Amino acid sequence: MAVDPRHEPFLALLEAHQKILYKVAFVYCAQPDDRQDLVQEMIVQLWRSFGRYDPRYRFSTWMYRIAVNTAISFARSSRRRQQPLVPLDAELTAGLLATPEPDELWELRQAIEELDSLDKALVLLTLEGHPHEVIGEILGISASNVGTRLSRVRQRLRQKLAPR
Amino acid sequence: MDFDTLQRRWDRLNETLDTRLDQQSQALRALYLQTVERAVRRSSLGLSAEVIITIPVLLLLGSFLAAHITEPRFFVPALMLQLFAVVQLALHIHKLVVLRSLDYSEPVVSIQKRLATLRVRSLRHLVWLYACLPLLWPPLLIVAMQGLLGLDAYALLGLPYLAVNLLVGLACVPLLLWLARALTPRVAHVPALRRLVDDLTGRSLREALDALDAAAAFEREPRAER
Repeated sequence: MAVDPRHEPFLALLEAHQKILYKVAFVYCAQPDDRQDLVQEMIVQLWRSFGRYDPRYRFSTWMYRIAVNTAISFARSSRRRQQPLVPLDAELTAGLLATPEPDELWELRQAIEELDSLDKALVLLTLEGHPHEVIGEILGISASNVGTRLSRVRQRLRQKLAPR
Repeated sequence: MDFDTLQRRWDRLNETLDTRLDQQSQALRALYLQTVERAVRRSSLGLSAEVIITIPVLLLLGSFLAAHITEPRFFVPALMLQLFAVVQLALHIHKLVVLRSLDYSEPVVSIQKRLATLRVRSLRHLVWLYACLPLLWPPLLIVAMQGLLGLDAYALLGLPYLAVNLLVGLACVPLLLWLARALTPRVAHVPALRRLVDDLTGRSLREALDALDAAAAFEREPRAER
């Protein structure tokens, strides 16, 4: 039951920032099973890369970068992702992401669902309140590119979310 | 629905996640504390058995003392054994009281501290116990031969034999204490020593402390912001 002391710093940081993984999984996967697989995959990738993590930088920024890159690869390689969104009742069984107000989250995911992988990451990081510089750092694009892409995404979302 | 609405829903997702993670942490903490409780119960049972075994020993020694009150050569060795048994009993009862008074609704760190202190005390107690055993051997021989077989060890073995045994036992006390002190810093690094300490202080107590370590990870802590 005792934890290997070499893993303790990683596990402590992972525990403190685990919400990031659930949120990335929420944005990239519609199916609860896929989300679980993606979270596991992200943890594996984080552990593999942990040796290269530089503690001078924020762990959450580094974690977002790895998590988003893993999610993009996962989304590309997984055909399951293209299955239609699950009905709300099934969503309630999904454990951590189950919610007493599923309609809200259903609409939220529906709005994000049709965006491409990079735009999903942009929306996720914007909704998380990160400035353009940090988003650019995480996604490996310039801050001005973030601004341009984001205004395009906002426009698309506005059209999509406009009351009919 | 505009981007601001999206933001509000995202914030709602964050709140939902926080609630779920807290619930999950509390459930896991409770699960580990159940393991602690079971291990502590096992440890208490072992201690209760030791108390039950010590009581007839005390009574037998008491009756031996009463029977030989006018014979110092039997009375003094029996008194040494009786004192030793009383101290043992008192320590067992103290441990039992500590284990029974554990409050599992307290913060994990506080339970950890109490169990770790108890474990250290148990270890010290055992070191003294084993260090004193060679010293107790001659009185035990005298009392057992007289009490169980009706034989006089002084007449049968001779005073020099008993005196040498007592002196050797006396010399062993500081030697064993020194050995215990010398080995203490190595316990954490030598698995065989660690296993020995676990065996001596009780595996149940070790299991309880391990489960508490695990439970501590799920103690309510401020979560990282984003």
